[in-house]
Parts: sequence; C-alpha cells; structure tokens
Amino acid sequence: MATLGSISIFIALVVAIYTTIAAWVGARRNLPELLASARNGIFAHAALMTVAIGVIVVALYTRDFALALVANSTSRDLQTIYTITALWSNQAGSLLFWSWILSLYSAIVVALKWQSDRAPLSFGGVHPDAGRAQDGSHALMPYVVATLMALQTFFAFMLAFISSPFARWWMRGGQTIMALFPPAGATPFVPADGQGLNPLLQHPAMALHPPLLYLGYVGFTIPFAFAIAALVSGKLGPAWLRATRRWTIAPWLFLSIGLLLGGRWAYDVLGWGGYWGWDPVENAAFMPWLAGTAFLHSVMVQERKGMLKVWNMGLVIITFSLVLFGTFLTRSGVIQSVHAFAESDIGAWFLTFIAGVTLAATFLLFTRLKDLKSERDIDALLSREAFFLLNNLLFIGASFAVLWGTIYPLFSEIVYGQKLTVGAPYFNQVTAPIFSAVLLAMAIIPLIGWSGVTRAKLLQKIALPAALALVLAAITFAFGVRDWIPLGGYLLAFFVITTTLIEIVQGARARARNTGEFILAALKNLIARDRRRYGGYLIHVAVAMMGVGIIGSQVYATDATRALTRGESMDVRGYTLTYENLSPNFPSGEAQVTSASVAVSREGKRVATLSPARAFYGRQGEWETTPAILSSPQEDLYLIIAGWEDNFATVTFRAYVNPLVFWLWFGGLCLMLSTLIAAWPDAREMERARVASAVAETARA
Amino acid sequence: MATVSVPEVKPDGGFLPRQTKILLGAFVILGALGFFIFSSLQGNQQYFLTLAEMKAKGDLATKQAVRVGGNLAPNTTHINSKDVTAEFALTDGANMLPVVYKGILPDTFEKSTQVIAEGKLGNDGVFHASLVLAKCPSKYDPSKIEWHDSAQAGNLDYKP
Repeated sequence: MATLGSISIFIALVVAIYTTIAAWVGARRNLPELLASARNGIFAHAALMTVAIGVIVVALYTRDFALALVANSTSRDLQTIYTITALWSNQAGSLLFWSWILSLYSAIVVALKWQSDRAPLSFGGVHPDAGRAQDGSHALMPYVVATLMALQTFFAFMLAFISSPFARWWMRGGQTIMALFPPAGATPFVPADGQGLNPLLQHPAMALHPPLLYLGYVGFTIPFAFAIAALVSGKLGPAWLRATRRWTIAPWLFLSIGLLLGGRWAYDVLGWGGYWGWDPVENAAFMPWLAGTAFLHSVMVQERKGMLKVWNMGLVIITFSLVLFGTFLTRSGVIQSVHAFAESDIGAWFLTFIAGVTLAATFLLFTRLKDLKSERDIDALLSREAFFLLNNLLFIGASFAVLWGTIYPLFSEIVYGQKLTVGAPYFNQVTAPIFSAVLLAMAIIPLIGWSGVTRAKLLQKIALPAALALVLAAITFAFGVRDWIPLGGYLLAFFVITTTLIEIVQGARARARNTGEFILAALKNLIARDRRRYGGYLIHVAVAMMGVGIIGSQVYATDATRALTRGESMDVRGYTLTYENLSPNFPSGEAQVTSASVAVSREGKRVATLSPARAFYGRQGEWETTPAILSSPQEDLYLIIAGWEDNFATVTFRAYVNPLVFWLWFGGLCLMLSTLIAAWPDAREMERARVASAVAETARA
Repeated sequence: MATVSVPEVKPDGGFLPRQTKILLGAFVILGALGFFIFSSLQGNQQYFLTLAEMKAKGDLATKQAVRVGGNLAPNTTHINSKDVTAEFALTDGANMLPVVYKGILPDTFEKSTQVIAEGKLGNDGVFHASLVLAKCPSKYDPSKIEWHDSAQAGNLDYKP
C-alpha cells in the first residue's frame, strides 16, 4: 500500500513537470492536441494526489505503524476521528494535504473554465456552458494550468525527496533512522504502538481549523495563477478578475472561518482566557487575510472603473506570497511559536521557493506596467475609489505592521546582530489605530456612491446614523465605560452598524414605495437583487459586532486567583464562586482527569454550576486545562483550575471575566452567513450570464 | 503615475489639483502608518538573549525587561499552587539562571525543554518573570524521537 502511495507521488511529480511544459508550449505554439493533453494532466495529477492521500488516510485509520507518519502522530488508543486529523499534525502530512487541495481546486477550475473549443475531448461529460466561457477566461487557461503545475512541481518534489509522507523507520546498529528508501545496512523497524497525538490537538475545532485554513490558503493560489496567466499572455482585460471573483471570496471565507475556529480553540483549550495572542503562526494566517480583504475590495474598483490595475496585480502577488510565507512559518519552525514544527530541512527549500515565486511574479508585473494603465484618474476625493484606495492602504499597512513584528527577531538579528522581539503590546498598539480608521472607512463608504457624492449630501446622509451612534456611545458611557480609547472604538463600531443598517432600510423602503411590496418582501428582494453589495454590507455589520466584542474583552477583562479549600468562596466582579466538590484523578480515555464543581452565584442567588478540569496525559507527559465557561451576551465567566496543593487539600482557581466576548463569536457567525449571501449568484448576475450566453449563441450561428 | 491635470476651480476643489491631493493624502497615510509602526516598536521591543548573552550584557537585564531563553534545568521546577508561583532554573550548560514566575505555567511546561522567560533580573540574581513561554522543539520533530525497542515502544522518550 505504502509503495502505491510513494509511486503516486513520483508519477505526480513527472505529470506536474510534463503538464507545465505541455501547457506552456501548447499555448505558445497553439497546438490544440498538446493543450488537451495538458488539461488532462491536471486531472491525472489530481487523481494521483488523491490516491496518495487515500493511502495515508487508510494507513492512519488502520494504524499501520510501518509508516513513520502514522507511528509518529497516532496511537492505538487514539479516537478514530483524530487518527484522520493526525494527517495535518505533522510536516509531511500537511504538505501532502496542501498539494492535494490545490490539485482538487485546479481540477475544478479546469473543469469549469476550459472552453469546449479548446478541448475537443470531452472529459467526464463536463461541458462548460457558453455563459461562463463568455467571460473570456478560456484564453487564459493554458497559462493558468502552467502556473498551477509549476507550483505543484515544487510540492511534488518536496514530497518525493525532502519530506516524504511515506517514509519508514529503520534500525541500524541500535539507532533508528527515518527514511523513504532503506539506508545501507538497516532493517525495517515497526513500533508496537505509536507515540500518540498531542492532546491539545484532540479537540473538535482542531479537526476543522487546519483544513479550513488550508482551504483558504491554497484557494488564493487560483487568483494568483489567473493573474500570472494574464501577465504572461498579455490578456490583461477584466477576464482574469471576473473569472476569479468567487475564487477569491471562497478562500477568504474559509480563511475567516479558520481564524475564528482557531481563536475559539485557543479560548476553549489553552485555558488562558484569551483567543488571540499574536503568535507568529496566528499572524501567518492573519496577514494573507488582510491582504486578501484589500484585494476583495479593490477588484470592485477595477471592474467598475478600470482603475487600480497594477495595484490589483500587486495585491494578488502579495497575498499569495504571504500565503506561502505563512505555510513556511508554520512548517519550518524558523520563528519561535507554540504551533511551529521543529526547525527542519524544508526551510531553505521553502525560502528559495517563496523568493523565486515573488521575484518572478514581480518581474512579470514590471514588464507589463505599460499595458496596465488606468483607464481614468480618480476624479474626486469624495468618491468610492478614493475611499477604497484608503481602505487598501490601511489593510496593507496593517498587514505590513503585523509582518514586521513577526519577522522582527530575524531582521534584528541579521541587521543588529542582536535578537529583538516584540510581543502583544506592539501588535495591539500598532493595529488599534489602523483598525479604527478601517471602521471609520467602513461607516462612510456605503454612503458614497460609485459616482461620488457632494460634501453637503454626505453630511446630510451622515447626520442621522452619527447621531444614533453617539446616543449608543452615550449609553455605553452611562454603563461605566469611561476611558476615551475604548469609548472611541465603540463609537466607531456603532457608527458602522447604524450607517449600514440605515442604508439597507432606506433601500428597502425606496423599493417598497416603487414596487408596492410589503417592506420585508422589499428588503428580501433588495438583497436578492444585489447580493454582493448587501452581503458586503452585512459583513460590515458583523465585523463591527466583532469589534465591539474585541474591544470589550481586550480592554475590560479582569481576573482573580485564589487557593480554596472545600466550601470556601472567592469573588470576581459581582460573581461569588464557591468550591463545592472535587473528583480527583478520574481515568477518562488516555487521560487522568481531575474536575471540580464550583457554584456560581450573583447577588446571593445561585445561577450556575461550573466544572473546570485538568487532565494529565501520561503517554505524552502533558497537562491539559479545560476551562468551564458561563457565557452571556454581556460577559463570559471563564474558570480554570490552576493547580492544587497538599494532596488536593486546597485547589487553586483562576477566574476571568471577559466582557462582551460573546459578540466576537456571534459576529463571526454572522460574518460567515453574510459572506455566503455575498458569494451566492444573484438575480442580476444570472441575468447577465443569460444575456451573455444568448449573445454567444447568436455569434456562433 | 501622477497625471497632472489642469486645476479646475470647483466648490470642493481648492488650489491643488485633485491628483496631487490624492497622492499627498496617500503619502500622509503611509507616513502615519510608518510612524505607528516605528513608535510602537520603540516602546515595545525587547532584547531576546541567551543566558551567555545576558551575562555578557552585565546589568542590562536589571534595568529593562528582556526575554531570555534557555533549557529548563532538570529537577529545578517547584510549583506552589497556593500563591500561584513557580520556580525553575534555565541553563545553557555553562550558566544557570534561577527564575521566579508569579502566574500559571503553560500546560506544555512540564514536558518542555526550551523555555523563554520575559521579565527583569533582580539584584539577588534571580530572574523575575512576568511571562513564560514553553517550547517543545522535540515534540513534533520525528527525527529526534528515541525509540527504545519494539517491546517498549509506546513509552517513548524524546531527546532534546
């Protein structure tokens, strides 16, 4: 079985090289047969990668410890679901996973976008409809294929020679060696049991968080490939942008969910009461998200007005470089992090690859600068495009500030010969003003139409939402928020919510007046007619809610720690916590669990019982703290067991009160749903597609 | 890329051409961003020292907070849960640094080999940490796994 897997990888490498060349030569020399063969190369590669990953999944499921990957990251008593998720808990497995997802994405893109006239052999009954082909993306496809496969060549090479998922353990002179091919004089070594999965990763969120991040990361490869195809072929029209619109919003959504789940996982599992620590690996996922957000916005300016063309190309290249850099950070251990794998030999390869890709793409962009002239200039300061440019500068600025803090230890070591680091205070201090400005832009932009707005009209439009936001801020003030920085933050978040909601309601009322529909029906139809716009607005509201949650929990969190004997109580911000009972060292699965039962009361009334726990995983020799959380829209009470003394005579508890953190998760959920609304094809778009296909039919006739 | 357009006199126009205004605006924003990064860096950067470097820097660590990284010295960890204090020592083979930390150690601490502590050095030579990060470099690194033999496998050791 394992042989089948490693052979698949080697063939995939050959196929990737062949397809790159075939697509390139076929496009340059216009050889339809070669292009058809390149198209099939994409499918063959996806099939081979699927075989390889299938072999690994079966090996993990059956716990075939002959494979080092399985022996190193699972054990016999590991729950079945986590044997599969162990795939991405190690370096080789996660590289394989990356490459596999990209191969599937590539196959889907080719199946959807490869026009039939380019592919006389129909594959699996996929006939791209004329409406899609009309976007002109078919002319780009050969170069898209070449770009994707050139990237895949790197991954296949890494998987074949540098970090093989099919490596085994070998024994030579009492020493174990991990290798794919038998080292001279070594005999195979199969451990009786594996070393188990890190207990921190045995959590439902960890089953979803890494694959979602990967779906997001890898997804940004598709717009990148289209951008490169446009640059290489010189077909710099709007086709590449239109073809990649969903290929940008989908990865963005996946990355957003991945980030949210990661935060939720940290909150539920790590036991420090927080959800975001500016860890290099968190930053690694956040940076492409920021750059991708900038791109999502600025493409609209190019679509509408033919402006910001160079900027958009640049953003795609930056986003993809940050994706590769993020993969590199997580997989190479070059920067100290809780997530990162140990420093390893893939680092140098990866760094060379990133530098190569970024430089080549930037060089290509420079050769095409002349052809990417803006069709017009920004003709008013109070225009969407000017504000979108502002939004872009802010997002790229935030991305750069985070990048700078992340690589600062490396930079300072190289430049000053002395490692200097920055922690959370740097990141909070530098991003707070940037994100405040982002909120302000989010509040104002919906009020400015594509055709611009006069100052008087804007002021008139702002008056009502601004007044409402001020009232809400005043209420917040009355509730005791007296520091001007968080108060300003709340005001901006409220401002976003009031402007956006008023804008939506006014649209619905106007529609109701014109069509005679009932207001709710008008609202529904308004959104359905232009999902992209109104979905986007709803995303803004969701982000503002998340902002409220972040400000509240970052600025006003409190905690208290006390050692209690049974029956004793501690107080934290209006809560009285009474330690009632303990169940020490209870065996549960792989672990020994000690859990306490703590009564929570407010104003003398018992409101809940919390059961924080601490588990000891003997095999890994590791502790895991399981917090108990009492959550409400107002605040979370978050309780952990910090330790115990004298054979459980006293148990030390730490309680955190995190105000408004509920809104972070709730806003996150709204963000996901709103993104789905924005990404779904809307009535107008379908109409456009119908017209386009009719035009195509006429042209053919 | 600045296209010089003829300045038109419009109610919101003013003296400068719009393109120039927009460019100026962009520069102001970029300048502000640069300033934010620079000023945040100034206030928050810390030396990240090895034990030997800290020794070589003399009393630097008594004056400002630093991060110091080293190996956790075996059998030096004492956790007092009652007042949530931990004591341990960092070593690089040649030097030993006793550390006191008031707080909860990360869950991975007991298995960790490399530890980073952030704080100040007291006059008593004890490092008073305000933050402790534990790293287990061997945890995910399969090449460092020491398999005993197949009978014992399952109770594995890691070699730092």
